[in-house]
Amino acid sequence: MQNYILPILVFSPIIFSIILMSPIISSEEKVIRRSTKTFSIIHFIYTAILLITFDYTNMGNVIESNLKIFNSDWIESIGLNASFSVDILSILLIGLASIIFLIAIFLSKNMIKHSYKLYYSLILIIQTAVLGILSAKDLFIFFLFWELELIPMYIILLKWGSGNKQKTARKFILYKFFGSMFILLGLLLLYILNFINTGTLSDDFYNIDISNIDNKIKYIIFLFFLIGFGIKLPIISLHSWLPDVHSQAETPISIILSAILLKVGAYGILRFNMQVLNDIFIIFAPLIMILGVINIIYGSICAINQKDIKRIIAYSSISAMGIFLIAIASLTEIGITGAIFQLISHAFISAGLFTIAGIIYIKCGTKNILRIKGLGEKMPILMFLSIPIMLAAVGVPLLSGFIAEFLSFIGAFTSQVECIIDVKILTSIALLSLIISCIYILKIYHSVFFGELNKRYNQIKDINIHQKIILIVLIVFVIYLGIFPFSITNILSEYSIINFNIIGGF
Amino acid sequence: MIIINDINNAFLPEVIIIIFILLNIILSLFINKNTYKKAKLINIIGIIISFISIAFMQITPTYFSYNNALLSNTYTIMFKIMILISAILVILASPSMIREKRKRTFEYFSIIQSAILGSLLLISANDILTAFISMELLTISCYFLTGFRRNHKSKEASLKYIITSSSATILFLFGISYLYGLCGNINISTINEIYLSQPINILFTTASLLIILGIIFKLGCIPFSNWLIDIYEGSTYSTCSFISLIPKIAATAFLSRLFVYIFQFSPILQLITAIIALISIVYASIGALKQTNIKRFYAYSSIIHSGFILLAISVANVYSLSSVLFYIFTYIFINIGAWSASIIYNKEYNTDNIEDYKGLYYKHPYFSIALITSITALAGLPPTSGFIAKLYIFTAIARTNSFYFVILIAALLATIISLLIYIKIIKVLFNKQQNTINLNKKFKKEKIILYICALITLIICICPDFLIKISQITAYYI
Repeated sequence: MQNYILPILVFSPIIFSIILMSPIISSEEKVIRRSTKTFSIIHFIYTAILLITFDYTNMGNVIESNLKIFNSDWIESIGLNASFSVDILSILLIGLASIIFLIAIFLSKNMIKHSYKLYYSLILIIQTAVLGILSAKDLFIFFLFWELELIPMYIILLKWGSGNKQKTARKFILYKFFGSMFILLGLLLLYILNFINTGTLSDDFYNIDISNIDNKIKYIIFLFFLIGFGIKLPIISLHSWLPDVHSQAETPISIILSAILLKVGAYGILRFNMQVLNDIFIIFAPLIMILGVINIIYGSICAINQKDIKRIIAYSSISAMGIFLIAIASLTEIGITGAIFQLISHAFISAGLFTIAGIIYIKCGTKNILRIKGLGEKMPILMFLSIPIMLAAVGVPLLSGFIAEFLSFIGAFTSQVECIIDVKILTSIALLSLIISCIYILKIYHSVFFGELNKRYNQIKDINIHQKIILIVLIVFVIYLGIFPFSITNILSEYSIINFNIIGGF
Repeated sequence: MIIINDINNAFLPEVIIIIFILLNIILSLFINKNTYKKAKLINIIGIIISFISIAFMQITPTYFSYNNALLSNTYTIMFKIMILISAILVILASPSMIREKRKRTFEYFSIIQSAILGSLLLISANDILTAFISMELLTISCYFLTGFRRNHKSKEASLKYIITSSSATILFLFGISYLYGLCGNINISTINEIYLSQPINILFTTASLLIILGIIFKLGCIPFSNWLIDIYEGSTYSTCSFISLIPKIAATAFLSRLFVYIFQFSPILQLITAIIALISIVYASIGALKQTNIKRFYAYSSIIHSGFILLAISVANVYSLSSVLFYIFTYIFINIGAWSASIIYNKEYNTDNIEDYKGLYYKHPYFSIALITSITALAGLPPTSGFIAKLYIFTAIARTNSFYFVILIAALLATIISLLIYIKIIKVLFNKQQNTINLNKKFKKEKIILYICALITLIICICPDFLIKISQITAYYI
């Protein structure tokens, strides 16, 4: 008997989007928005039940997990299956994805002004793609969902947003397609080498066995994956799509992009580069460490010089992903725990920051922080609610950002990875970014909320109930993770010991 | 008695097509009013009868007929099914295949039928001379089809077709004569037996290369691709959709047989073919970038697909051949989906320019979604059958050896460039500037074909296993 819990989770959004697209549903905005919201809430409750009932004591072994695997022979004749399974890493990210998509759909109310049917159905297709990536158990099913996201996201970027949309959308899809070709090559090599090594055609990544294969080929696969996932993450030098796309997309889309799609790239690195190719990762760890430090410093320095609020936040995400990179490259228990914690914490922080930026953009009509002043007078509630989120982005204790950065830097500092430059020096350089992040985040806060109010903005009203609820929910998560990080870190540290190749630490 | 037996076992669909060719010519004398509808109906009935007659043929292992000139087995029958399906779809997808001079519809359909006959014969040809004759039948029919419009561009296209195609034919014939000189035989199976026991020489490779070049013209790969694009531009949309499918399927079937039986003795030949395929992919990917004419875009896109098919053929093992079969089967629906959308649009607005499609989504969302599905499939992205077909062909090629993997990397990098043109069309559909697009309701039947093709494209992605199993079984019987 098959277990359909996971397929329902993954495929229900796309099925609902087909229903939404069909002529049965009228094209009035209220009908579409409300039915999507209702669906999303139901889907969120379903995910929440899965999250609560999940057996967190089972580390890594998906077969004995209480969420049964769904197995189906998709293309049985060449050994490609369509199986879904979740372990602790994926269930946490799935929970995260559900929250973020719910927030994005709620936030769309005042921000989307036309073609409602298309917009909501495309968002739901992207949700299917993300959930599919996170729960896929097979290489090519993973890849199918990885590419499924491209065209819907392209259309969304093309139709909604500001600035030169066509150029941005083209840039996005070209970069992503470039990356996914490398991933495809890597997956093909894994599939073929597994066949050469074991004689069976299989694409299940828990069964892949490439132990007897020459290391040089494994290096190539590793680099393919690093480029492919590095574009999504992004690693510096593959990053130039990110500031444009994040800043010009409509706010709910920016939230989805920065809070979930970057994390999906990180998930790819954790799954493929660290789990499937775990013996190769040690050799490349110094490289990743250096890339991470460059990411942190470059992201922060670029963020200082920007005037566009969304661009500042976009560059700060690059910096945050740099922290993720040095944390995984440390190969310590604390470091990897911190890295995964950083993914979750940064999702909430960047969602909050983008929400604030989006609200300001809608109210003032500009994203340039030099033109906006003194909004605190007119929008006291927004001003009050942005304090915890911005402080979390800076990394103040008792908020989630602090825990994530603290764990990551401790991990990197105690790492035994041998690098050209000493790891401790590298980490110290990276720590400077904390100071820089203070500068740019507080710059936003200061210039937007303080000072003398521009006369143009006299008519502005404070945020509505929708936006209040969204911000409060995000703040609750940020504070909860800051005060009770043990609820997640305990599980994650055990998980990282079992699943990753850890060489050092306390 | 032997003749009847032969017809019954190997020649039945062809005979029915021949009968309908003659019937078309006779009917053209008597029917003068409303010819198009009647001709369409009669010819579709003819193709359907021929399709049904396949069920009565003998499939068990291989049946040779007419002194080993033709053969019939599972492999040929699969390809015949594909040809007939695509012929039915092409005819159904075109509201009216010829715009001017409606009285000549029966002649037009008799030419289409003879092209189908040529391709059916080419598929089952077991000696090279039969193949040559049936290929000429196919090509000459295509000359007429391209030249049927009687305007300047159409004539130019037809003339270009004649000149290039004849040069390809010359190469083919020259190759055949060498091969006959080497072996003293023109039967493919016999040549295979000869070279099983004796080593190949440089002359064999040259002859084979010439033959390959002759067939490649049908696939539209380098060095013939430039001409092909002009031909597409000159002929009508319906003719284009016909030319882009039927000669290609037949040529693929025959070339695969030649590779398995003869050419695979020469590794250099496989290498050269793979490189030709790679150059075609790269050339078409780059060439597609600047196109603004939708026909030229489809032409470049079809060259990219031919490149992948040729790459898989050059591998010449069972996996790659089954992947070719599957690829072609999915390509029928993708191609007809894409073409039929343009046919309908062109009938209403008489435009070839991609930019003229702008704002189509707002007026006709479902039509555009069907078109986007086909374009996505052409680009090889999920959730369409194009993705599965590409995935399957890549796994088959990558399985062979490391040399092919290098070629695959290069081909994949080239397709990244070609993505630009596919997304350009999607971009145009969603452009804000609305024009007064209003597709009439009169193309209902053609739209149904479009929707069916789009739906099949999506369904194959979800459950491809059945088709892949069939193509694997078929590939064993080559």
